[in-house]
Amino acid sequence: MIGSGEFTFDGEAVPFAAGEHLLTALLRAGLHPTGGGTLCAEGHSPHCVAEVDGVAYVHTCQTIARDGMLVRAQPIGDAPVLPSVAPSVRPVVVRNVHHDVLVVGGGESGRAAAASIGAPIVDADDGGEVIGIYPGPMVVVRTDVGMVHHHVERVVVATGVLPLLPVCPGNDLMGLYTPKLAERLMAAGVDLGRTVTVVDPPQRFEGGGRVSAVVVGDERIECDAVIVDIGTTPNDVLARMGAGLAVDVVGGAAVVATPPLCPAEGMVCPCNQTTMAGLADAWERGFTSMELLKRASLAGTGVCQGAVCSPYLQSFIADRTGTLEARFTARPVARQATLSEIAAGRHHPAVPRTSLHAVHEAAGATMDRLGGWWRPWIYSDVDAEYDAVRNAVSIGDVGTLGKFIVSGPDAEAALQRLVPTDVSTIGPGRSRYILMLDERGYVLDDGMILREGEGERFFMTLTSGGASFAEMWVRDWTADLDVRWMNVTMAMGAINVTGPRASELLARLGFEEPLPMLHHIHADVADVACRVVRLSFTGEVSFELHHPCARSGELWQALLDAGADLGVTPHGLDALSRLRLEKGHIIVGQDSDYDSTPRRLRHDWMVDLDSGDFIGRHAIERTNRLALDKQLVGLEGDGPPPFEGAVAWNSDGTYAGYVTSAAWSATLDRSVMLAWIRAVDGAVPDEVLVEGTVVRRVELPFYDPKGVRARG
Amino acid sequence: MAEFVVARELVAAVRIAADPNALDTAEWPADATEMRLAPDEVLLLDMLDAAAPEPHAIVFPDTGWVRFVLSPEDGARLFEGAATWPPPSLGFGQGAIAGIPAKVVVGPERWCIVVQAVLADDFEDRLGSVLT
Repeated sequence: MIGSGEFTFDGEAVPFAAGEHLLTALLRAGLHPTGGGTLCAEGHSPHCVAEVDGVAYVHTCQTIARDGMLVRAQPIGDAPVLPSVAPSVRPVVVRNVHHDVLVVGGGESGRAAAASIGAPIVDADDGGEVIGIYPGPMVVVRTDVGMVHHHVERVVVATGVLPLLPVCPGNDLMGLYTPKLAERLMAAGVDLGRTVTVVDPPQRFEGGGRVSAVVVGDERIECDAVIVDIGTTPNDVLARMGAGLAVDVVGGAAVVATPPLCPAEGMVCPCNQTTMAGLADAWERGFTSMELLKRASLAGTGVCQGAVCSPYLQSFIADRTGTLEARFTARPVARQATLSEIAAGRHHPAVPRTSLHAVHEAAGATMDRLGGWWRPWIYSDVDAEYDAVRNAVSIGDVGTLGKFIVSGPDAEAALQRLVPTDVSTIGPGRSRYILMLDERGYVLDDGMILREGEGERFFMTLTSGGASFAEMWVRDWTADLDVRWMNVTMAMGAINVTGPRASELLARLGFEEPLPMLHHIHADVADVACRVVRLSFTGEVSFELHHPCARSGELWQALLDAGADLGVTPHGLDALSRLRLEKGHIIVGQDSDYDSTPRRLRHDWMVDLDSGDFIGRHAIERTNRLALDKQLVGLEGDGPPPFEGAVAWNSDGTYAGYVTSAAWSATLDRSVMLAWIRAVDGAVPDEVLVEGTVVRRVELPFYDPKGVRARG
Repeated sequence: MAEFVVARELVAAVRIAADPNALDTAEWPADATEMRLAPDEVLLLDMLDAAAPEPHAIVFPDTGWVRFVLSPEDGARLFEGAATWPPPSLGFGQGAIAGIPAKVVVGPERWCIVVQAVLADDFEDRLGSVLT
């Protein structure tokens, strides 16, 4: 039992009895949460909401008072205010439960439905407040101990009826109660003064702040409180929310009720202060249906989600058209909910860590989330990392690369369909740099295709961020072929050994076989079974060592140990980004845009239109006939590198494009960058202005244009 | 390691991609735990290698999995707090647990949950936030 005590309302101490609702205690103290309006006891009237302990829009009629609670009035019909105190941030617990059927509503029809099918019941009076019904269906319920997500095959909505709240002049006065609330207040010993019960819609309420009289028909009755018992309306918010889902509606909520008489005056939507005159004005402006009237007048968009106004909107429309329109669409949430409650049970996608993550951390690397992975950005000295690659030997973690094994009688045909190159000419033990295009001829991804032995088996690598999408893409596009795909991205580690002394380092670890550029072989390195791939992203001699991820740590350490006197140093992505930029290598997603064709990227040399029918072929053929409108080009400048994303301007002040990658090249002693530049009169200009400095267009790559160093 | 986890271990496994019909009829050693991930893919735990069920099958010794062993009580609590799908009453199931792709084998005395090693640390963190 919750003990008696005091809470404060706008700074004023309010005593309460044990187990009492906030609203009861407020009314006993002569206070009203919102200053007036008809109050119910069922969490539907917007007139009882208040900020409670920093949480806004709490229904005080449903909240049990606790000692020390901070309650603050909040404006009705006005913008929400920031909480006056920091709301509780304790985690909200979630329980997922599974049923065949769940009944919402514990009234007569709900109990009958539950009994007939043996289903559990959720009911607000038993502490289960339904926040919404979602596809699944899933019923989200707030309880005293957290959120419950009911995953069900079917929902039975048995939420019964609601008291009709009056719409007439004076319906915003204090002292207006539904019968259920009046009963509760009297049982709690709250003195309501002279009360009168009205069963017909009143003409008006009179009074200054608090009701002093009610006029029904020709009769004027003086009073201190009015119990408004003018009928009911289906409580069908959840029923409407469940439209299109596996939801049945029974009892009062299922009844197509005759709407009340259309009022002439009064506040019809207290949440948004919409009057009957406001409805008429919206109607005159042409908003002549339920959904349009709601949007134009805002009636039905407030805290109560139409509990008060929707019957009157129906009668308003029926009065003008003779047609009973269905009530407007309902969407979650049906009740106020905090962000903690909404977010409860949800998780951010986890960012994978490579098999060398702990090694990088132990080495003091600054880790960052890049390309969908945690990756080392820099170890300690990016210049030293860069120098090691250019002048000695370095190792980098490239285990994040997308990696696929492809096999089957149609493996070659599958790859032929997916990439614009003649896969049949990739010989055993050879590899080729490839693009992957979409149907519009835009570049989706890039990578390598490696053919294994003589058979129909390949290994394919793609960019770090592209593997998950690529797996869906390749499976979708080759479902009709006799081919097997295996995504081994997460299962294989990969280390790039790069630098002029890379071969020497590998020889010390048992790999001495000469491996020409764009060849690959299975071999042991430091007793770890590897697929050794000869390629180059840095511009220096490079070998990728693909291996079982469980052995990454020992392979990494063996490389460091064996190369200590060679100056082997790990490099992070910061250094790698500079190195590859000097070679003009693109990073798909950074240097490419949503509409990057190979020609715009200056990668049209990778498209073999004689290689058969590949995805994007027709778009490539069509766009090749168009004038080139922009291109990714290399730029160099004498000043410091601009920030990536910097705008490029033509000399006449017109927009030229933007920089996608930029870095200072220590080797070349100038800034180098890649940028999208628009063509002017069919040609990309030779110079543009970036950050106020003239930069020159140059041919790519910036570094070692003949590729002598990479070939060793 | 969190107290509620009975064990966390790298697991020896073989992953096989093959023609679905071949996988349907393949027989694996009795001590292997079979997880049929997809019609054309199976994961066999506690194995280092396996025979190809058909000539074009990809048989991949896969060292990239971590197994968490929980008591049935903790397993049930984990599902209640972090999975929107019901656990199998007995045997294999797969889906997201705490937002992380997971495979589960429910047994009478222990629940084995297998996740990719690259996500294992995150999984253990999230498991802890649910069970403690």
